[in-house]
Amino acid sequence: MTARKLLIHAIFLALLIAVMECAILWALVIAPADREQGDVQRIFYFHLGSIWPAFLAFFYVLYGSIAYLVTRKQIFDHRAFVAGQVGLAFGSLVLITGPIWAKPTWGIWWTWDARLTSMLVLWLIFLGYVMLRDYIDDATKRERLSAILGIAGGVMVPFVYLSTRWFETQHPSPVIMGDKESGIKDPQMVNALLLALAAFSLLAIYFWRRGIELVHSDARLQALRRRTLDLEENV
Amino acid sequence: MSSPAISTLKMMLAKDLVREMRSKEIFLSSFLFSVILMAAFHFASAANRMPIEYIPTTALWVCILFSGTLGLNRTHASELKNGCFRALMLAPKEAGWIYLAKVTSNALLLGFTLCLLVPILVLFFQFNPGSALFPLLLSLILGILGFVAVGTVIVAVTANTRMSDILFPIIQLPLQVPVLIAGTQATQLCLEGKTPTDWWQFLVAINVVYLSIGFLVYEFLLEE
Repeated sequence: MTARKLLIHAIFLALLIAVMECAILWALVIAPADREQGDVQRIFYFHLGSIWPAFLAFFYVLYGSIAYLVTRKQIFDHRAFVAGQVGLAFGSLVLITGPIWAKPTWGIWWTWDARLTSMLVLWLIFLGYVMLRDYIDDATKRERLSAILGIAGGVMVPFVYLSTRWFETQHPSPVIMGDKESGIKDPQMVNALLLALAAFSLLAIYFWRRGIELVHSDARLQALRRRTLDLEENV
Repeated sequence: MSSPAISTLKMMLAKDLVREMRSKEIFLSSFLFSVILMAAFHFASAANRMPIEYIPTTALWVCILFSGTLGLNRTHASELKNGCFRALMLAPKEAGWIYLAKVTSNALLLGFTLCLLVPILVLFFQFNPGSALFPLLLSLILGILGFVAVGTVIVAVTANTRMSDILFPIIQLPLQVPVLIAGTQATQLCLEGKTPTDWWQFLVAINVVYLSIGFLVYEFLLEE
């Protein structure tokens, strides 16, 4: 890693830590407790904060997969694959924080509400995308087939989002792009939400960049290993 | 539509349908599996005294989902025998039309199985489409087409994996959830005498998007 890259990395990490600290402070201390739900509602900042990067990552899988099939540049495949992993990790956070919030609010851990179901379905789709690679032995096909599945899965994201508006739901209306009744009115709550969104987005970008470096290094290592084996055979 | 496209569609359809008429293996296995599923449905729903009027829609769509998965897997497996898939790769035809032909033949096979399942539904669950026959048919056609449009791409992707028999349903079924939800809702509304316009639009949108995606990406699936 060059000195410039190292500096950018350090600045990014410092910014990430600062924003995360602020997000925790606002979410747990400064923002007032919800009038009806009390302190339980504070998990909302982490819940919604995780949804945003998960959806963004899933869209990136679609973009990266299309870019790979068009250009055949390996970097797009690496970026799309790591985006799938990051999306899966944040999707898992959504699925964990959701029931923790649901139990005291609705009285049940899980309900087959459309939005919960759709998040679970998206999570399963991208689990399949991430899993697929491990089961393809032919390395020449791995990236291409992954990209095709990435497109098939990524295209599903809008349908899943549409379904949240169409199905009967007991989930609250979306805070962002919801109807007039929905949304947060308290300015400190809005700040806490924006900080949480920024913190989780930066965290996702950090994981994504580190993941790409890892996958890239792994691909170089595999190539070197193949070359060494070839050389050994020739000697 | 250009003439080479029509000839590709015709040839592929004829190939798939003639092969199935000779072997009958996909149709028979899907049909028998569906009958067994319906019997299982009866026992499973009898335990909690589920009202019989709710069962046909559920049973019908579960049959489409699982028998369809079985059928798609078998269709692609038979394509891999004797280097047929390699021949498709080498064929000087546009891959998109090959995909559309595969979708059509798979949809016809599944549709045919379904036609034979309806009398069984009437027999087992007092299924009565009544005056809703046309809307019901439209819902099923749109649903089957959406199901097959997704499945035909995924089965070709998972065929290259170590555990294709297991991976295909694992990867495919979550992708089929929008089709399943829209299909069941549309079917149930039809049976209640309502017109499910919203769900039809949703199914048409899924079909247009997936058929277009399949048309474009199938070329990459036929690469060596």
